This record gives sequence, structure tokens and C-alpha cells, in this order.
Amino acid sequence: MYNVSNIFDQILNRSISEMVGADITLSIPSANIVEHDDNFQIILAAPGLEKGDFNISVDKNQLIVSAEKENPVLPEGAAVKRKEFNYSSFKRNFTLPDSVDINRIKAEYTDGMLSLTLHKKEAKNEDLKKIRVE
Amino acid sequence: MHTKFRKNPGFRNAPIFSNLLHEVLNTPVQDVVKDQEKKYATPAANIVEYTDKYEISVALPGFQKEQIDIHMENNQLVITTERENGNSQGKAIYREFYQPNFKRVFTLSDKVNKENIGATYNNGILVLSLTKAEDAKPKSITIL
Repeated sequence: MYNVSNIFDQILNRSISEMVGADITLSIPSANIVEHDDNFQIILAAPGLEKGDFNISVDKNQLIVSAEKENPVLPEGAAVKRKEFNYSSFKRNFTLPDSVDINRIKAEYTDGMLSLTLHKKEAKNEDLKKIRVE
Repeated sequence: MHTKFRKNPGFRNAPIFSNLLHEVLNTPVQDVVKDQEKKYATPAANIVEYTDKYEISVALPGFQKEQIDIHMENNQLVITTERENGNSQGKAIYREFYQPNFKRVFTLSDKVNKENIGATYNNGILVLSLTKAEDAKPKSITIL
């Protein structure tokens, strides 16, 4: 049964792109950064890749995450009807703070999420300057 | 100590803009007009037509396959995800995406065989394989 409020619900419950389609192809994965007590975690939403497709490197204080993957060649008679995402080729840079120990960066890729754990440097005692009260 | 990540300035605008636009376009109108208890975001999807089937790839990073529900409602293929919002630990210092639940509905035409829909989930992508109905497949006619 359709009544007016049903019809409104149906229209309002949909996003614009469901009706008109998205004109943009997402190609650069989104990133979140979370700070923990002893590390930072960068999470990149990059679905559709394999572990080996990623190139992760540190150049001075720049963390560079990139991927280069060739899109599969479609067989004859096949056609792309809609393309809203394609993360097969991208590059992202992150400027690291001094507190990151660049020798202890770990990366994991599960279910389309790349998670980078960047350990913080351990605080050195020498850095602590004591001031004596005279 | 308070530290901030800065991205390479030359790289800054493009992703944020397109992601933001995507987010705006994919937020249900009702979410903007009236706050609803259950919010679904629309995932990005690719569709490829082959001679004998359609393949729909839906970007759903960060799920387990048990959290993805696929079902048919009349001639609509409905994909929804169900996951709890875990208590995230740590302090978010930079955010470009949220991890909501997703929903997307595809209206299927008569060209698709609705009894035979395959689904796989790998590396954050749900691939739905919809075979074409017999009379929608290309036919070649032999001259007798």
C-alpha cells in the first residue's frame, strides 16, 4: 500500500547519487590517523588491492604510501557500465612528526584496510634537563 | 606532547574535495533533514557488463563477510552491512572517513537471472555476479 508518507519516505531515504549516479570516481584512499600512548596509527581505506601492490617508504620525515596496479584488461564484448571507485593507482604523502621512530613502522593489509603502526620514540633521559634551585 | 601530521601541501586538495563531495552526495536526504537512528552510507560501486553476465563490485572495506547481508526484495537486490560501532581507542587526530554501515539497492531488470546470483568478498570488495537471462544473451544465427 502506498500512501503519501510512504512515497516521501522512499524519496527521502535515498541518497542523491542513488538516483542520478555519482560522476566522480574515487581514486585516492581516505585516511584516518589515531594517536595512542606509544604509537600513531594511520588507516587507509584502499579496497581491492593485494598486499604486494603497496609501496611504503620513508624519506626523511615523509612517509610515502603508493600503489601501482594495472587494471585487468576486459575481454572482448565486455564494457564498463559504471565506475565509482578505482584505487589501483595512487600516492599519498604524510609528514611525520619528530616523535616517530622511522625504524619501527609496521604495515598490515586486511579486508581492504591498510593499517600503518608508527611507534613513538622512547623518551630519552638525556633530554630531560634538570634545573637546580639555587 | 602534541604532534600533528601534515600532509604534503601540494597533495592536499584533490582527495579531500572528491571525498567530501562523495560524502555529501551519498548522505541520504533524510539524514540531513531529520536525524535518524539508523544511518547508512552509500558505498561506491562499479558495474561491468560481460556477454553472459553483469558484475557489480561494491567497495566495503573493513568488514567480515558475515557482516554483509545480501537479499532480494521483489526485483531489487539489497546490500546492507551490520556492524557494531566499536569503542575506538586512542585519539583521532585526523579524519577523512567514518566507518558507518552501508546500504545500497540495485533494481534489476528482466535481463538478469534472479535465481542465480553469486557473491564473493575479497580485500574489501564485494563482487556480485549476475548471470544474464537466456533471452538477453547475444545470439548468433547460423545460416542454414
